[in-house]
Amino acid sequence: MKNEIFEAFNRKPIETPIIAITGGKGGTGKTTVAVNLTKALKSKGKRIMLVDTDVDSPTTGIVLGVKSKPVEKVKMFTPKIVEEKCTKCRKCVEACRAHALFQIAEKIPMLFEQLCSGCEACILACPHEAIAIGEKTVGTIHQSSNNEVTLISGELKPNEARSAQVVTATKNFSLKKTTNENFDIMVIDTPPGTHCNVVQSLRYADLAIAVTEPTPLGIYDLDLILQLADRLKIPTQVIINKADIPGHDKEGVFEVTKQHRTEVIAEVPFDKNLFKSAENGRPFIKKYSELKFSRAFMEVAESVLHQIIKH
Amino acid sequence: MKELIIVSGKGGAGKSSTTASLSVLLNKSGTKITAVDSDVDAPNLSIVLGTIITNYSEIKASDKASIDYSKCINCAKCIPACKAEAIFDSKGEVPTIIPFLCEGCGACTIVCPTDAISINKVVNGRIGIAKTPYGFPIVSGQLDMGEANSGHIVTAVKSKGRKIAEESDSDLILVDGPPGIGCPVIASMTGADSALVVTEPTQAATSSLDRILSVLEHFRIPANIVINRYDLNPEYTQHMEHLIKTKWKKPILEKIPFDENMLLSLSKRVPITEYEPNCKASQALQSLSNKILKVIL
Repeated sequence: MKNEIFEAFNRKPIETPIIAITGGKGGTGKTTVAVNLTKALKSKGKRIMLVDTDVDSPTTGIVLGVKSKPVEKVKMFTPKIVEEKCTKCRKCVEACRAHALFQIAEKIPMLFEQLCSGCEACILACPHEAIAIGEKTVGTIHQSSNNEVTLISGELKPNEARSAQVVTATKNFSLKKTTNENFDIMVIDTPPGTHCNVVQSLRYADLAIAVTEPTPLGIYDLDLILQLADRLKIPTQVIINKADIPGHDKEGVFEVTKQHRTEVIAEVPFDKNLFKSAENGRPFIKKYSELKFSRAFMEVAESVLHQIIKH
Repeated sequence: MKELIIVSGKGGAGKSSTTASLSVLLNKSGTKITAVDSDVDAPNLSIVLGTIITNYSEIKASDKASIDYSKCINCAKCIPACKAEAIFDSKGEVPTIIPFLCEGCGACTIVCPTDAISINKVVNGRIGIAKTPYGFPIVSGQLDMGEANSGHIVTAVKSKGRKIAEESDSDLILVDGPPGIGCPVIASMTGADSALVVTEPTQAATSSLDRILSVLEHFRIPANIVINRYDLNPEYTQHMEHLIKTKWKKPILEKIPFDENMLLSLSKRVPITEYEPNCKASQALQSLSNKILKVIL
């Protein structure tokens, strides 16, 4: 693939450094790392824009301990057929590769809304301007009311499938706000997996930090997410969370990390107290600042800042 | 033949570990099992079941646009037609497609005056089939890196799973689902007779539980709940139990305690119920398996 394709994909619309927290497997501690890293960077005097793009299960606000309010609806295009203008020529039905438009006998085409991807190909195909722009809400963008850290989180409306649209809208909203309000660093808490929501979340990142756990599952999925980042030409680093759990295979993590020519920047110990901290909705680092866990995050923050200055 | 899907909303709640133990226990009790991993982003079930899948076949379930530059007159009409913003003007010369962003909708082909753009099916994943060391088959899917349409891969994996289940005369298909509530989760749920929702006692998991239950309700799939690692936060577990009974009105089939054997068995790639059959988590899983036999089968 030509280099300029990657350049076009990764060309940032803003200058602010962007760090994405990802990991492949669910439950490795992405949100814990994103929130505690944000707190650690904050304690070093930086203004952070934290963005939750896990629109299927947005929980960053819960772990951060802030209440959010909706600020914008995410809307998607859907076609509205203007019956007076429609000549029933079938062109829109043929153009719709998602098979969301269908025509029974010689009647006016009908829309099966769940299948519509909002691509607008039907509008382009209609020779009679018989398709008007309709819309439906597929999600909501929320903003935290906390002054210390600004959190923007996207939320997919349950029963809607088009979560990528919500991710993109959440990201665009945050990018604009980051420039307008002069934030120093943008931290993105991505969804698990390697699908299109993750691709959209990783886009523009100067650095993707993959959070893994030293289990066969964590290692397998770490390899996948590093493959994805390599394919998108996004630089990576790795954090081993729950590094000291019984039966851990840290060597396995190091091996995968080495294969992808990246490095482990921190090992975070497992602490059962984290369960309660998360339940209380209070970032761990704040409550237990003297622990190994919290010190690990201060070190990551320093490493991140060092790299940003180097840029 | 019944189909049970294991989901959670939030990732890392214990879907794959629970599915692996249940499949082995139910299989031992005489129920013929086919295991399906539909978490095509992070397929982990075969690892927990100690199975290495070598036999993969490619799936072409993604559409991508490609430009024939011998026909392209560089009118750039395709660029604004693409709502996914997947076409850019490369050095002001020719339109170029960013494949990671292209959804294959074909809007560009409609506006192109010289028919220079075509939509083609490309390989975006693979399906593997293997026999587990426990005697039953597993079907697992894998999305290719940077490819879209994981929902289509899920659908392909599930239909393969059903075919294998029919061929092997299975009584039950156990589907290990993806995290979240979006497109791959909805694709995984389609056709399931009932769902087992694995959760844990945290506020984050509760919020995800609320979302997954509303999706299951929408698709009219009956849900049963398992609270994993319940003893790590007994007070919050109580609060959750109350919510599950009063707000969501769903049965809690079992509560599984945190058990270090879970981590040790995982490192050996053996389900905990095989690794340490008498430990407290295994006992809870055995009881869960018995209840599934009664409630679902």
